[in-house]
Amino acid sequence: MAGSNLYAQSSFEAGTLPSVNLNTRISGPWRFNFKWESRQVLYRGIFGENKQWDAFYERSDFSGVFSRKVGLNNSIAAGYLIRFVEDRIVHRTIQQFTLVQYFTGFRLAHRFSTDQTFIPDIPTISRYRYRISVENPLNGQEVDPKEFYLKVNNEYLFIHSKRNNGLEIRIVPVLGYNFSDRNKLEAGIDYRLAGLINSEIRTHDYWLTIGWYVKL
Amino acid sequence: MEWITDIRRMLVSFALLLCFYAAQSQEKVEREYRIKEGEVPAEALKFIDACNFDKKIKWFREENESGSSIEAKVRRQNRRHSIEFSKTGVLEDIEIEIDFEELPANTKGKIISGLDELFAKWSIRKVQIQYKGTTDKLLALIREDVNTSLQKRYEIVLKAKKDRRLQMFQITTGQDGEIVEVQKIDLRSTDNLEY
Repeated sequence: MAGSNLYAQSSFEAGTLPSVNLNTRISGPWRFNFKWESRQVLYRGIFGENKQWDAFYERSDFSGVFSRKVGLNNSIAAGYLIRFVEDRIVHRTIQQFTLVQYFTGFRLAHRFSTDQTFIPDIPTISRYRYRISVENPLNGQEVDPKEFYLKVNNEYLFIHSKRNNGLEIRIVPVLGYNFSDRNKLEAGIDYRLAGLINSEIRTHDYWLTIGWYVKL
Repeated sequence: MEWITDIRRMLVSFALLLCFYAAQSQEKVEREYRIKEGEVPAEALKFIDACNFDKKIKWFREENESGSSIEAKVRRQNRRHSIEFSKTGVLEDIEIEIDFEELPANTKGKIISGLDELFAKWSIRKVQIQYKGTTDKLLALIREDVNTSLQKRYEIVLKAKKDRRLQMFQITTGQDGEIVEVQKIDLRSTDNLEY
């Protein structure tokens, strides 16, 4: 009985997820990233049951991350995020290691990260994440200025708290335009599947993502 | 809520500032892009036809501040070949990717001692032999593996430590392995792969 009810419901949300990334070199191998990201829900519901257009602003995140190059293609980073969601403020600490590999015709990046989320009256949530990204030029063998490219991120998140454990998978295909090495725009779909373990409800999120990367 | 309105106002102002900044930024434009066979000069096509490659040819146009050139890229005997022509189709050189270990022992020794003098630490990523010569001799190189009477240079891409920083370089050596040029390679920004 329990088995047949497991994952009986799948809910979904769809909306927009714009972001702005500002990156700057501080000195030597040290760099700083400032990111703003916001979510607006437009449509949501439960598959096979009720669905409704329900447009509302959900949240805004502001984060600052310091990173240091620890090799030609590797960097370690740590930072802090503040989230304004409804009437609450959420805090998050972030740590990450990134490795970028260059191949003829594409670039591959591996990102290993952990973060800890602090929400009032809720046990701390820790996430352990791995993301693989591939970036392919649509013209020539590398992404030159004024050229389009395709980028696909695939991320796995193991989520742990005193209350529960969870697993989330994200797939984010985007089309990018490289105005210059200092200025890129990416747009695509950010699909997130959560509730894969220890949950009776799976959630599917579909965000129209638009990201702007600026190097100062 | 008032704070949401404040944040929105702040973001709009911020976005306008960024638009202004983006419009101001100018960069040197150097591009390589894929072209169709129909856009390739007849003389270049004639040379490639004579080579009898059995793999697909990919054609590129490379543009930089000094002008443009046409390049055919193909795999032959499991090695990457780049055949470069002027924009009117005149053959300029052929580059073939090889393993560093395949170089003659004397040449290899000279390159290693040259690199040891230049860099605290280094590791080789890619080696290409560049052949220059007459069209007939370059055709013989492809069709019969005959490389006599051709001018040879080596182009080596390496990761190396200089000024206490790991960087990418391309060095060019003469036929005997003596380093004649060192160029730093600027790696593209990885911000969109990290965040």
